[in-house]
Amino acid sequence: MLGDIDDTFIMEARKASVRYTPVRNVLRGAAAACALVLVCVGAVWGIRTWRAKGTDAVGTDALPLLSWQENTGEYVTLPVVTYRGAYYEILNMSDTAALDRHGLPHAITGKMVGEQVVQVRSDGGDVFTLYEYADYSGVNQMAVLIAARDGQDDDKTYSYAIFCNFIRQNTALCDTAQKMFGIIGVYGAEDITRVQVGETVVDAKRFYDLLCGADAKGEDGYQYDVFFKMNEKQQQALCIELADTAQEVHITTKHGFCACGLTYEPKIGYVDWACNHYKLAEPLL
Amino acid sequence: MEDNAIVSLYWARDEAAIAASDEKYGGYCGTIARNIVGDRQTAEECVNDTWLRAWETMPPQRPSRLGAFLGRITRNLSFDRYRQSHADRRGGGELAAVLDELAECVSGGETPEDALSRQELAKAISDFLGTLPRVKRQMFVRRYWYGECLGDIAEKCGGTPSAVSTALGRMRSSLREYLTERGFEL
Repeated sequence: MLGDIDDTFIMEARKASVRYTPVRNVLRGAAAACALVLVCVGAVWGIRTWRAKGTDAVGTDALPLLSWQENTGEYVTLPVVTYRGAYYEILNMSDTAALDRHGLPHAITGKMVGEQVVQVRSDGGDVFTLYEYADYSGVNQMAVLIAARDGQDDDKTYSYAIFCNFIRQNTALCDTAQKMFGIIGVYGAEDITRVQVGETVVDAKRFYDLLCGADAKGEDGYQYDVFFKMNEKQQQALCIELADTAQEVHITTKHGFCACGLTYEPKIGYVDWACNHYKLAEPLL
Repeated sequence: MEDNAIVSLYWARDEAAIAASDEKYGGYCGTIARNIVGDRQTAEECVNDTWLRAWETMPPQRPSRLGAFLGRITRNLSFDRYRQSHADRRGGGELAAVLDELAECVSGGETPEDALSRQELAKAISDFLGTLPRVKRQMFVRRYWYGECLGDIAEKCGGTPSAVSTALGRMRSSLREYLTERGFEL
């Protein structure tokens, strides 16, 4: 009898292996939502970063990148593509608030479109051609690409493809803060012009030094450090508290690009960046 | 090669279908078989038999999900082999544990009336699975369809083996209740 269950579930179990963190992941989405309400602009990311082990079709079974829509009050699935082992969100060019948040021009002109790098398929099945961002040489090519949806050869509509997260095969691993900074073209504190944590502007050099000197952890280490020996109720309570107190971090580089995918958790002294967690040696605020 | 192309090879009676199936799904089917029968050689035989069975059933069948279709054949063949080799003994191995657990909520009997309601039961179980959160559903299917051990499931889905075991126990209880409410005699 069990052998005859729906094919969908059979293939789903084969493909997708996700980290099982029952309460926390949901509430981290809530944390993102709360942070967004405070900031009151556009979208904020609840990025699911874990990936199937042993899967062969990168991107096709990725969990969705969710965005909280301020105007409708609900989450929507964002168009996401995978390229060079990372997720990229295709920005909606009509969402000028999101463009402003990243410090990106509202229109993509021909001279901004560099060399074609690859054709990729989004989770939704759309095929995009990715190009280098030629007019933004100061930013590492990993941070921003330009995407054109296929089938629009005569009148291409371009969008930005923003680096979100590495595709993490092993959730015990993490990336150094230096590597993450490198993605946005920051190789020293002098490359940062502004760091805003919640509503507070903090010293860029101190922020850079704290993050680079922090104890970097992957998802496993973070979960162990924060939730070890807690029962489910305690986990829920802490999750809610973290969600209520989490603050978005915006890093603006000297090139004008703004990285927005960071969160500071003051209660536990962590900065979360993509699928990495950095335990700061001292409070950021 | 795309699944549709492989199925077309079967329909065209092209033996390249076997090689293509083996290349794309050999590892997948092999894992299913090894989880059930335990030893590598028997598992390989089950996989080879899978291609033969697929050859015999396509046409007339044209599966929309080739992976699930082949996996199901492998699973059935592996269960048959397991039953043959364990006809006179019981216990030991992952499958024995899996079957013991499942017996709590659904019978493995094959009476005529069971056969009659088998599809309805499978549909009810699928409906139940559809009510579960995705990760828990994956745990359940990995354990009771693929026959994976608790440690592997814990590694792939997160958590500890004991946590997975607890979650599975709750799901079995829920399934039993779900099926009972719908008139299935367990």
